Amino acid sequence: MTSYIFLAAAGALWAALTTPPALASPCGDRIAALEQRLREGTARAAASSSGGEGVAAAREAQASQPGSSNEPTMPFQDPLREAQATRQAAEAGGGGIGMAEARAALNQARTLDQQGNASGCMEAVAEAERRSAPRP
Amino acid sequence: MIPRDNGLEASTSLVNVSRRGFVAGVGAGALVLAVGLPRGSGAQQGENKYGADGMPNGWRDDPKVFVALAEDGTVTVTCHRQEMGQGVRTSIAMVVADELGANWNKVRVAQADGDEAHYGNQDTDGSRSLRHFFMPLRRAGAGARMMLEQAAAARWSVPVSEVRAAEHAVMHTPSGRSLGYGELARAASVLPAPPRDAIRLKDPAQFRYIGRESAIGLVDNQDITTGRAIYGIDARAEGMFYALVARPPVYGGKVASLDESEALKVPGVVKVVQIDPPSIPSEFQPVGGVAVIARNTWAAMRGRDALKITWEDGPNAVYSSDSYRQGLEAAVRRPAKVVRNEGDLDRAMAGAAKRVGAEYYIPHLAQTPMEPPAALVRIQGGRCEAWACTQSPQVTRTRLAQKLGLPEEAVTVHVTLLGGGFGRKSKPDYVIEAALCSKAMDGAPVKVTWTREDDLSNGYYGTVSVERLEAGLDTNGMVVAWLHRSAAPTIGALFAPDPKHELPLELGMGFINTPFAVPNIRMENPEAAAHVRVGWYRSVSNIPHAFAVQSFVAELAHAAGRDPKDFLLELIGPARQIDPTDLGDAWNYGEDPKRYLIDTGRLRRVIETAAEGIGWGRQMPRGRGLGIAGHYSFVSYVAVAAEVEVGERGAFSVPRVDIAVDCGPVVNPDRVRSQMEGAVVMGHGLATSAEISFKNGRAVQQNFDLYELTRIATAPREIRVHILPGGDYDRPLGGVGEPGVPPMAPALANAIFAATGKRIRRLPVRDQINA
Repeated sequence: MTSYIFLAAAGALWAALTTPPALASPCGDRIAALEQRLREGTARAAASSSGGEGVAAAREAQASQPGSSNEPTMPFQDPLREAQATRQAAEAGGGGIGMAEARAALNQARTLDQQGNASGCMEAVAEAERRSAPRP
Repeated sequence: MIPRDNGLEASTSLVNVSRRGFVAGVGAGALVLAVGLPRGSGAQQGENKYGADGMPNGWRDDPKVFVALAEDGTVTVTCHRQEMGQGVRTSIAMVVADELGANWNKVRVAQADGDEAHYGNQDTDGSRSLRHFFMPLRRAGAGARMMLEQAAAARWSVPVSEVRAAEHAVMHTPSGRSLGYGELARAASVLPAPPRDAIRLKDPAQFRYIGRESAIGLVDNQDITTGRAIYGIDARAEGMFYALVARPPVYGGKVASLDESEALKVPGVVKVVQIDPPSIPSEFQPVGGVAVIARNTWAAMRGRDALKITWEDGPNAVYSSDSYRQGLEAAVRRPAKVVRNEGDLDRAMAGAAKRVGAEYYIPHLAQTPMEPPAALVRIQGGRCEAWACTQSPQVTRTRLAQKLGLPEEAVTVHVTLLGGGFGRKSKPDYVIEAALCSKAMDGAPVKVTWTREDDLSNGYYGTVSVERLEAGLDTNGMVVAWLHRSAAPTIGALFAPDPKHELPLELGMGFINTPFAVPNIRMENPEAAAHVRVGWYRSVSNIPHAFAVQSFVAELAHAAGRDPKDFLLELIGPARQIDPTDLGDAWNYGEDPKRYLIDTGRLRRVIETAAEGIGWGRQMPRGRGLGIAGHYSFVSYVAVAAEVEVGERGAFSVPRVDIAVDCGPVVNPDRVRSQMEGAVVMGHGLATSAEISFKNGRAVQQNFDLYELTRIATAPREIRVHILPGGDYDRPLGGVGEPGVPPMAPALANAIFAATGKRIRRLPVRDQINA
């Protein structure tokens, strides 16, 4: 019985966590607009990284360097193709790290929006947009 | 093949790790079956590429690449992934043979050279060999089977629909006629391979080898147990020389002065060669130093001892583990870069009925494969040929070509068996050293051998980490706030100048993607500079993350007065599927986040299975305790339940471990079981005794006297592996090689706490129980 009650409670909690809030505010609209972009960008970062530890580390490290040429330090394949992969990683929020940071900022914006802090929300959304931009 | 006792001769320059494989395989007049199919990719142009599609050089499913059939009926399957004890040569052959309808007794395995343009990706890391190549290899086997059927139908002048291949023969059902595979080899070899979309895969219900508990052992068992198998360290060639390298004791150091006169007086020493230090980041380049080339290994060792070298240590001489740890601790006590944020952590913490915090320290680790790095290289006639125990033969080939100024086509990398790898042998610095030595000897074959001291002093170490966790509990003991800061130098420092933060692949290893049902979560990643070569050690950052998270969960359970297993399941929450991108995970082990969701139901099930296996909840005698931990990594789910017995003086043993794994569809249950058993033993070692520490930039532990691994006397006495049903073979496969390691250390620490009340927050345990 205890387990059942717990599961029901946890299920309700999870439903509350994952149910998008009503986004009626201007900031809420910006959150909604950015949400899908972030999801796609994060998925793109995962694709550009690869599942091998060496390849992923090389691409992500190079892609996360500000001001980097994004030329691969390690040609794991034809250099042109590897360079393209590394550039794609950089464009996906600096190897993906920017996407994680942006999502954190976006979630903060969501919380601020729910708390009625419009200016804080706008600042957090702007931060999320900045973080998710391709690294120069 | 390289004979053990004779010189390597031009006519036998192909290395095969299995003599049987070579004698009966491609070299015995086998016929290659098909014309090539184009390089494989399941993704459309412009789409994101995941899994094998996203790896350099992709995958192949061409029968020509993987299957050869001799007229005596011998089938040779070419294995393009590297064998380091995980049994991949067996598992790959099983997959192909099953689809081919081959009799296992007539199947041989040949080892591929490094050539990803031909074979597809060959980097054997990331627990990906079957995850990425199961379906392509099935298609390769099935394509070959269909060609044999087509050849038989043509021979009999009957429709191909009337013939059926099975058990190494093709039968014409209406007439009862039959032809063996060998009899059809020549005719089949001139047929085109069926197009990919026409390939008929077997009904999995008809599998004879895949997923079956069977009597098939490792294809290399006979050779390994009789000493005939060839490892990198065994490689020999006619007229070869032997080399050892004195390397800078501090990463980034270089030779300030050298007096080689005494070394050259050692009988057998023929040359002393300086190897230039690399630029930083050094990626897979040698660290530099001085090579002593001799006529035998012993002379090379003595010659190296006789070198008089003054080292210029460079900036990393400041690196000492004690002070570095203090720096990491200071870093995790301050706010840092936020990489995941949900809800309002500060408000939830402030309103919590109870707050709990803890810090965990996980030291550097060394992979220490039983066979240290070794490679033989010769350069003749504008060509370079290497024999090496490498996990990444194509990367090795590329680096050799660059270093020697040769076109890649002029470089051949033969892969031997690996006496363990664990990530160390992904980096071919030792092969490049051998090439530089060969070049210095006008291309004569030179083998570089690393000693254990070399391996521990100049490794690519698993990272060092301090993990800080804080949680807020409500009045019911439920976790309402979760803060995790992880500080660790990154692997990225191998590839980019001075990165300070963990990369997405490191964050995605059990940190940012922690699937707990907590409303307020924040995860932060402080800066941490790398002072050594940080590399990947089996399961990588999952080790520190799992140790900290799963230990902390048990601490919270204790604080809440709850059963640790029940508390862990509560934190995971109800069964649900989480898109990892929603957690900010931008790696997801390179897999499609829509196809590889985080399934908390599967995580719950492995925890429940391990708990049930060990008899969770039973009354324990004094001095005994049970601990549990569950972890998701490499897109598989593993839980460990451990029983610990602690003696009067704090010495402890592990009578039993139950490990449960859900890796999706299972290809080779025997190998899944052995990987889990091996992971338990390796996890036990890193939890209880293994540590690499540094003083003045130098590794303190130089051999197994100080870097202690688990031995027979201390290993868990009983390991029970529970493999959860994987479902049908259309479901995605998970990794197997690495995910068994991470939950072992926290399960042990939690068991020690249950037995003694002593909480282990620093690895390894060593004598902390009595401290």
